[in-house]
Amino acid sequence: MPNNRNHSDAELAALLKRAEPPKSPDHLDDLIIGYAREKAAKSDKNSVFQIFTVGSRWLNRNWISAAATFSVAVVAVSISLQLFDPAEVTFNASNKIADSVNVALEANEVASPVPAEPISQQPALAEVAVVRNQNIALAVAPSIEPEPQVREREEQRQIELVPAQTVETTAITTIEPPQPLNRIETDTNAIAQSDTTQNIQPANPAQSTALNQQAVPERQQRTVAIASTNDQLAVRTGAVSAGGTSVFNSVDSIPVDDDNPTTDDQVEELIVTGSFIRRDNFNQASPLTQTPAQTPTQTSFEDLLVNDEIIRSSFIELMYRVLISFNQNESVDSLETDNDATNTQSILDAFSEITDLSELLVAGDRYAQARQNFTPRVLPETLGTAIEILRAIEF
Amino acid sequence: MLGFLQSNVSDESLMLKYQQGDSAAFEKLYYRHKNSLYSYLYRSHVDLNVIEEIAQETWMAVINSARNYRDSAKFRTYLYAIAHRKLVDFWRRNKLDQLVDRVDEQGEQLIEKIAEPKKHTEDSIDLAMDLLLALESLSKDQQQAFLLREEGFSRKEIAIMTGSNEETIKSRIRYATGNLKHILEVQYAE
Repeated sequence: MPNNRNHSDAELAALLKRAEPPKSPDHLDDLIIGYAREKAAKSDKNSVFQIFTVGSRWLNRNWISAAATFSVAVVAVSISLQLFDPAEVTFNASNKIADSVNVALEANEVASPVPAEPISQQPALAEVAVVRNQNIALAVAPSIEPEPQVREREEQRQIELVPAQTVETTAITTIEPPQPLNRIETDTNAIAQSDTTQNIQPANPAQSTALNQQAVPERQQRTVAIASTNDQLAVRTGAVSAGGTSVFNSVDSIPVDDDNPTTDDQVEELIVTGSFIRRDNFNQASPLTQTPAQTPTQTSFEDLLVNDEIIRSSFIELMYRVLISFNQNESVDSLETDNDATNTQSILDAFSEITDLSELLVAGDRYAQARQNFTPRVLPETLGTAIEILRAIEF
Repeated sequence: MLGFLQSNVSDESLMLKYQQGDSAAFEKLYYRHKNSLYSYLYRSHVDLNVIEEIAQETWMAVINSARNYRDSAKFRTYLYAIAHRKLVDFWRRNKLDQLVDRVDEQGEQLIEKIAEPKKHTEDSIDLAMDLLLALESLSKDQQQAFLLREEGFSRKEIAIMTGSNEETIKSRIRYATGNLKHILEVQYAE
């Protein structure tokens, strides 16, 4: 090999390894190992902070992935909070109903009213059925426990066959008390005669009112019948055939878009300000006209008749009625004037027919003027009292 | 079986254990690499006292910087990079990093001594020692590139350790090999 002029790299490497190097001396080994042990012992003393050291070290290495994971988690949570499934919302509301029913059962008293759901969150009919069937399952679970598969199949079937109104009836009927199924399944009316109706506890005050009035015994009986069944589907179907009207219509009575009348075209409030003048030319959003109390006294009755067409027409009408009543002259003959009407009772009747206060005042004033032609004794006491009242208010 | 598994524990795992205060892990690590590191230092520099000093400094540096150790690279690369840096620092302190003529204890230039034709060419030990002397005659960059490659490091790892790029390392290795061949050819020429 030494004479070989073409030393390859491999030959050089082999030659290098052949030059046996010295080994690390022992005293150097002892020195380094001792130093390493000393440093390890010192690090043990600081082991209390080791967790934080490791944590910070891990964070230093993986802060990008940690930040990315945290960001994705935050976005996912925020999106999940913003996306509301209507069925879930209704399901939550139904859970509230079920919870309130359960509370009522436990406390043996009526639960607090369930808040109405927003209109925008009203589910479709099928969703109502689904959700309320789930509600049934939750509510019934403590007392009536059909097999899950059977119950699920029955609930699915119920969704197909039973309208939401009936389903909600069954939802409330989870309120106990348990009874043999077959009795109710065959004849709900017969079961309705049992005493179990007394144990019904509705979910809200509206339902409680409906029950306490005892005006809907059939509904109660149906409810009891349903509550006492172990086969919910059969009983629900029976309830449908029996009329299917829910006792607890309050759930469906939640106003929806088309059925909820707006109050814009209704009178918001009625304020009496002292004016008896009727006005039709209001132009405010809220019809309100304030008239001082002095207005009627500052204006004479003659001015009103001249200037106000409404008063004038009312006065003429009233005068006509008074004169007509006077001319009838049926039972009162104590009046001395021949030309005047003599039927005091008719006058009283005419007054009793007056419902508008302004007309009454006008008529009273007219009668006060007409009374001057009468003798005091023929005036009835009640009519005189009325006139005194009219005078007291300075009309 | 347990001993086999323990013997196969990676250098990085042992270093991480020592990082957590396990001195036994460091002992395993030390005995696993102490001789190879010492050989590398010996091939890089002929003075045993200097080698011992650099070896001690290298291991001390490993111990002191254990808390900041990251297992992103091989421990062996980490260890040799420290040793190489210590060597370079030593050479710079003593102005040996320049390509100067090496002289022996008698003041003779090593390159001339190596270049003398050998009469007893069958002694491979002498040939190996001549190779070491030839390594001493190389520039430090070529020498380190050649030695680190002989230690099993890739060009990329050598580039990382020496602060160069791969092409430069490739070139240094090629020149180092050529120079060593030339020296040995001249030395053992008839």
